[in-house]
Amino acid sequence: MNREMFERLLAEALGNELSSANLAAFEACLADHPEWQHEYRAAIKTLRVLAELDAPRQVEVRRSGDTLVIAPQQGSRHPTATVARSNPLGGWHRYAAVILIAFTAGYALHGALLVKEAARPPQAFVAGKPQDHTTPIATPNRKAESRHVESFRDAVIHAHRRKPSRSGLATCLIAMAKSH
Amino acid sequence: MAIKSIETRRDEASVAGAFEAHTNEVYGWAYRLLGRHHESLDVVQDVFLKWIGQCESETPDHARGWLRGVTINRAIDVIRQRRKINEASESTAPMAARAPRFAGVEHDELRRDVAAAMGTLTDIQRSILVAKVYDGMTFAKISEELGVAVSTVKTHYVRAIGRISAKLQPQWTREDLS
Repeated sequence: MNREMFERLLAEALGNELSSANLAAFEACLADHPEWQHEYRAAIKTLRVLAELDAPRQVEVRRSGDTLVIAPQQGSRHPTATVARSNPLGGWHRYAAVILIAFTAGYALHGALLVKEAARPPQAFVAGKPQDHTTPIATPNRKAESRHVESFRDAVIHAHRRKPSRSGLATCLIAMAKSH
Repeated sequence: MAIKSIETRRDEASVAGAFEAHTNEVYGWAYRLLGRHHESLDVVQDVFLKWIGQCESETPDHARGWLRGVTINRAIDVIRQRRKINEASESTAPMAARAPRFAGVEHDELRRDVAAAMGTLTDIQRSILVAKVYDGMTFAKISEELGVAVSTVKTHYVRAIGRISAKLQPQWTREDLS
């Protein structure tokens, strides 16, 4: 087999267009020429390297008056995503869902804290002094309970403060915490 | 109000039409080499400004092929400019002191190496390589777009890969080729 024929088969092999009929010829060619084997392996590696370059996200062209504007396609995160979002409102639904989840989580947390409060042992009475329900009584159980509650609340708040992307949830929870 | 001629309106339609039809592809070709969104948008703008200039004299038969070639050339120019700026600002280190390239290489370095390797190709080799590797076109389609024989396309493709291999191979370890 001459070099020209090998290059043709090599191109087809590298381009995924090698027919089954030519596959045997190509393999026989490689077996007979070790230097061409090295060339083939190097070419495969090169194609792999080229494929490693990050694929682009999709962009869309929109008309804005007389101007054509290029912008990343909404919802396009994966390079192979080519279908445009069918919901033209796109992002605002996402934000609405985040806010709804934040409030729901906030109320759930509030509810959980109320349950913990209800599960406290009865308040101790100090003789001669009626207890004010808003005044914390320094019993070991109450202290531990309130410390536990505050630390749980703080833990949740601090966890979300560490993640700015959830600032909406953190703001909600902080607001809920301050209201107690 | 000035009345535009049919010719002018048709030209405007072809410029805007090409922009709308091929922007994604142009952006994609640029991004593969540059890896940066805003630089890629700059290249898109440059390419279509050139397209407008080209259409004023003669509109290419195959818009996509023309745009691909110009985009790759422009992206390589941007990388070369970026490299000059980086080399002027960073301290020089002997090549031998650098770690092997493909053991966890940064993508910016990879892009620079690939762009430098592609800079050694001819225009048609670059176009064929990108059309095959990134656009997934068949040899027959590329042949039709560029107006060259299928066998010529295959030859250019193999030669292009061979030249890039030769440029990148010195940095590869034996394991890379196994």
